[in-house]
Amino acid sequence: MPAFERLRVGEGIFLHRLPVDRFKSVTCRVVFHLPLTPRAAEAALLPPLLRRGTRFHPDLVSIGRRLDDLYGAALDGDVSRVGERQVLDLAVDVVAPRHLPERADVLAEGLEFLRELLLEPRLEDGRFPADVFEQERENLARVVEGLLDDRISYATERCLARMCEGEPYANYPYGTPETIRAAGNEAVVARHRSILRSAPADMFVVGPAEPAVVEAQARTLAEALGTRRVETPPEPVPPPDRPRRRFDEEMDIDQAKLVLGFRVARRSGPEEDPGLALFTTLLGGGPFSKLFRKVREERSLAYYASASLERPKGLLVVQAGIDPGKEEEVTELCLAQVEALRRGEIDDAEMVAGKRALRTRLRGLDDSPSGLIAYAVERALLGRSPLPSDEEAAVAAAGPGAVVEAAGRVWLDTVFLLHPGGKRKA
Amino acid sequence: MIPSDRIVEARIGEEARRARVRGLPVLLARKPGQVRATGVLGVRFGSCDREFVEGPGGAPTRVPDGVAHFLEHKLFEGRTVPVFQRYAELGAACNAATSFRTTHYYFTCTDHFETCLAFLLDFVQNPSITPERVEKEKGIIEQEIRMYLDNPGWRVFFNLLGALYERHPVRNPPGGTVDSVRSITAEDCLRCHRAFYRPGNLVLVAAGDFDPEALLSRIEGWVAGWEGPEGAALPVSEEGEVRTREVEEKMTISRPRVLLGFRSDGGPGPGEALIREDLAGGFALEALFGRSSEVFQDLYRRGVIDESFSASATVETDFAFTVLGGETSEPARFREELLVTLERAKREGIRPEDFERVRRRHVGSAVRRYQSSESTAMGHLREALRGLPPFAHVRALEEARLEEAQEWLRRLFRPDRLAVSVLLPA
Repeated sequence: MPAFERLRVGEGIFLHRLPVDRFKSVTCRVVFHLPLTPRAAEAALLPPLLRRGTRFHPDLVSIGRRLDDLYGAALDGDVSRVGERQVLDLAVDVVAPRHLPERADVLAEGLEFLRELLLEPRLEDGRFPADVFEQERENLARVVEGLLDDRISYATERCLARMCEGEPYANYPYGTPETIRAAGNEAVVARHRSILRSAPADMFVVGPAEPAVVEAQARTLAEALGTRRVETPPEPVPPPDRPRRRFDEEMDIDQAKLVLGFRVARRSGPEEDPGLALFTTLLGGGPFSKLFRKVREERSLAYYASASLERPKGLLVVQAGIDPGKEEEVTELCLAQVEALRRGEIDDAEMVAGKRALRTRLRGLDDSPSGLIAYAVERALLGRSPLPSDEEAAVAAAGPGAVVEAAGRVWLDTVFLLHPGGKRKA
Repeated sequence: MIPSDRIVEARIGEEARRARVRGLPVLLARKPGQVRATGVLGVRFGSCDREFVEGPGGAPTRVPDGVAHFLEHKLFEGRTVPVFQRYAELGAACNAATSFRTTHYYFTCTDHFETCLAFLLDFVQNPSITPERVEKEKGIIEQEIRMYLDNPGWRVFFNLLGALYERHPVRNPPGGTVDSVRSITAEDCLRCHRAFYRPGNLVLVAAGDFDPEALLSRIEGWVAGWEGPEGAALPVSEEGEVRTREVEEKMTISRPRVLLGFRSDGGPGPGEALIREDLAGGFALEALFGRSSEVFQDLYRRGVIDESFSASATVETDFAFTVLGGETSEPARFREELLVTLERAKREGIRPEDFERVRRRHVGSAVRRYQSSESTAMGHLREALRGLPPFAHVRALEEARLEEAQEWLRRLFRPDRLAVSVLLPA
């Protein structure tokens, strides 16, 4: 895989090109980096609002038809939480012209349309049309309320919110139903302007794209953004030092969801941290992992039990679906697995399987344009290489010592249980 | 050398090698430069195939609901090492899925592709199912069934199928019920394996950067001695009125969900008829309810539907149904508005320009389907299990005709074939 070619095209705006010829489509994603605050809702409303209409394509039908004419160009926009940033992105994916019946110039036209969506929303007297605004605000509030319907994600989000109370990370990237419903039309328009004027931005273009076309489009975008004063979001706050806490919530469910929130002390700098990736994988990253084997297979205490890492924030989350009465037993068993890794109890088979799993995941990213972009965004926050192959090499060279070292930087901060109430044994 | 046909789809830049290896249909798609490779083995045997004859001239036999899924789990247990574990040791990810008429087993890897593929053929061919192992599995499957019961999308969907169908086994979730699973025996599993897991009833597909010629001769060694009579599922045809017009349930969710389902009488039969029915439905629904349709914009703008809305047609040889719905705050209005819209669409038909727009969109997404090894392999598998040649879908897209979509729409909308499933917040 060739490296991303990084090109400064404007004040705080970089173009990242990855010309991979074998991809069937070209993915173009513009990413803005924002601080994560209690006002997250204002930026979160932008992706749905920008997709409702532009000056030249004022409604859903005209936008949809424009995309259809570009042979089903896919439009995509969202906000997400990466470390303590709110990342706003808007993307268009167009099929490579050589695979189309008529060799339409879908790339340049797709990029132009992306720019139009981003910069020229349909406004009336400097505001989003009132009916459109109210509707998208209500839709987003409902999406956030709908988190309740996905029990596993809901439990994890509740755990993180309690665990990180008072830290920027506790802000859900979409805001809360209340802050979304309280967001004002003018405030969202102002937020849109301030993002264009001051947020650091990256434009990623991955796939078989003519470099000159891409660069010209990126420069046009940068020019259209005008003079900018870039404000970089603040660095993450260090984790608090305090005894383990426990929270629980009742819900009418059958299977209880246990979430263990761990903190991870950060290692900053450009050098890789393969020990942490390996630690997480060996703990709960697959059927060879300690959680899977000890908790699920040997003791049948959980339907699922896994660990995942939120690296830019320094969090590690263990999730398990359990019998409501087994919380303490499962928690202790999970902690025992962390301890085992801290003592270096890793046999060769585990190590080989863990490394292979990481290698597959990292190398596999090379086949996924959106995976490569998401990886690069996250890595930029850690100050490390944007390519999975560099991390893969570090993982291959790491030994058990690196896992033990990483395990020493991990501690349990918060236990959260979503449970069916009355059924729970005391 | 094993004789094979080479089928080229020049515009999309793909080719497939098709052969029959000791009775097993094999399809190999070479993906130059792709890092990940996928192997998938599919069988024409799913949750609906509970009544069958074991071999030609045999007496009909019946197994409990959920056997196909149970058998999938048992095969995954492997003979000596659990399948998950073996793949994990190779750094590969694997999974399996049981649907109404098919079951498939697959892996994705970046290394050790041939070992992974040989193992796929081995564990699917050679079950090791004992009464003790069957009993042990029941607890795990019960947990899985309970996890799905907590899933609102699952509940509202299977409530709908239960209302649409009186007798057809499609009304039952593929996993069966807690009670039916308890009654499954090792002999039930083995009987199904004997009857259906035969070379002529399976399809092997692989996609990745490999040499197809060399691979074919390796595959020959891995399927040696795997003959036997093939069983045949007894088709079930359900016609006439739906079982129940309306079904309603309450659970802990944030907003009501409503699904409207239309049941066809029987199904279109196999092969070309199936793909044409599938496309006709897909075109009609996309033209009417797709993101660029006036109907979608109108319903969305008036707040009747939101992003959660979807419309899809499921078509198999002996059954077909269409489902429209999503989340809504006003279930009664949602249903009325959709019915009025369908009535009007049936009267006014689909406009030729809308049909052509849908075609362009589908042409683009057909190209994207060949982006990754996984989606390439799954696309080929779907066609092959339906008895269609590679790229049949791409070609059928070019031949799709407006009249067929119109006709489909006229057949679909019949008030006595309609059932409504509503899920309300508790």
